Amino acid sequence: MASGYYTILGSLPHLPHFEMAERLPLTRLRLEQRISMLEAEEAKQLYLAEDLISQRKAVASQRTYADMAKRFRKGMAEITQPVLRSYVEDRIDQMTVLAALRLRREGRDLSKGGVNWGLGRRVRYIESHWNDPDFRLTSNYPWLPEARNLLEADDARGLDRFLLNINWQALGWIADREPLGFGGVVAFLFKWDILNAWLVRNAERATQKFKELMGEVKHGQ
Amino acid sequence: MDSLILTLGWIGMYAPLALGAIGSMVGCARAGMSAAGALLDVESGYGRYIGVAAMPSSQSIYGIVVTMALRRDLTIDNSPGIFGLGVLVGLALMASAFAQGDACAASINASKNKLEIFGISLAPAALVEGFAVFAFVFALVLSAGIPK
Repeated sequence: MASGYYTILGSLPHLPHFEMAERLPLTRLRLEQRISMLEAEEAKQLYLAEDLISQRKAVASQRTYADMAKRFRKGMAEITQPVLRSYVEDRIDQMTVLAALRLRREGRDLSKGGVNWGLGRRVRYIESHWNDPDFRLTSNYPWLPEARNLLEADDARGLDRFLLNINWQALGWIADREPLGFGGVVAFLFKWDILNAWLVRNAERATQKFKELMGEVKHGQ
Repeated sequence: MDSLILTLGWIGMYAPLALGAIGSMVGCARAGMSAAGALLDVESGYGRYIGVAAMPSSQSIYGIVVTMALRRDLTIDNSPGIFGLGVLVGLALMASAFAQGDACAASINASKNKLEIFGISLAPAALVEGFAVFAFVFALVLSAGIPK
């Protein structure tokens, strides 16, 4: 079925950069119809990964750390596609690093360990480098100092935009490596998620712009 | 030993056609699947995409011509040359058809979103075709030096 990626990717429209887009070029229904052309196992893994890290899903819906950890372990055990697994791990690490920055800002000290607070590969490493401003992770995550600065400046919107850009860029690299393979599908799905999340967050601004446009049309008549 | 050398000669004689055809099958299938996907996303210009998907078929034609040029009574003297020339040009044609299929698929994906780049987006596929033509022409030139 590997060659089926050609059909799926051929059927997907171009996704403009999320900051430039005014609307989704493909509805969720159409996207799922196109993804249904994948093998069932691949589609299942994609949705599982989306469920773990999607911009669409509310993290708050997972009530306790134990629930989150259980869901994460179960999901990662089923995601076997290397490109998808790698992206999910990177996103989970990103969330963990951000959680650590927020906890430290609240004055918490996790250097002694023994507290359940994060998921993924970097939890113990972060705990052991708790007093380093960037947890000695800047070589792995060059975006970390800028994210920390934005967090310390209480610029939530700037941080959100910055991280979405980082993730968008990472997905671009995945698509470049496999433009006609599974990586291309992975990149499209998660870029679509980012775009959707951005447009939803900007719904208020869009409503305002719509009113302005309507006003212009009315005055023009 | 003689029969082995003659067998290699037969392999070399048919290799350009067989390998070129395999390449065309895969290349046309890849570009064709991409064209089929594009049909779901566009409202017009269907023929354009299907036409692009046919580009990797030329390698089969080159293979047929080289096979005809290599066709002769096989002997111990000419079989090694036919094997070397036939297999290598066959591999070159096959690889170029694979690559051209991918280039055509990429061209279809790009041009369906931006129609004005349709022509220029085919340039990579045309470049790949150019390398197939090099392999084809020089196979013909060198085949003249193989004893009849």
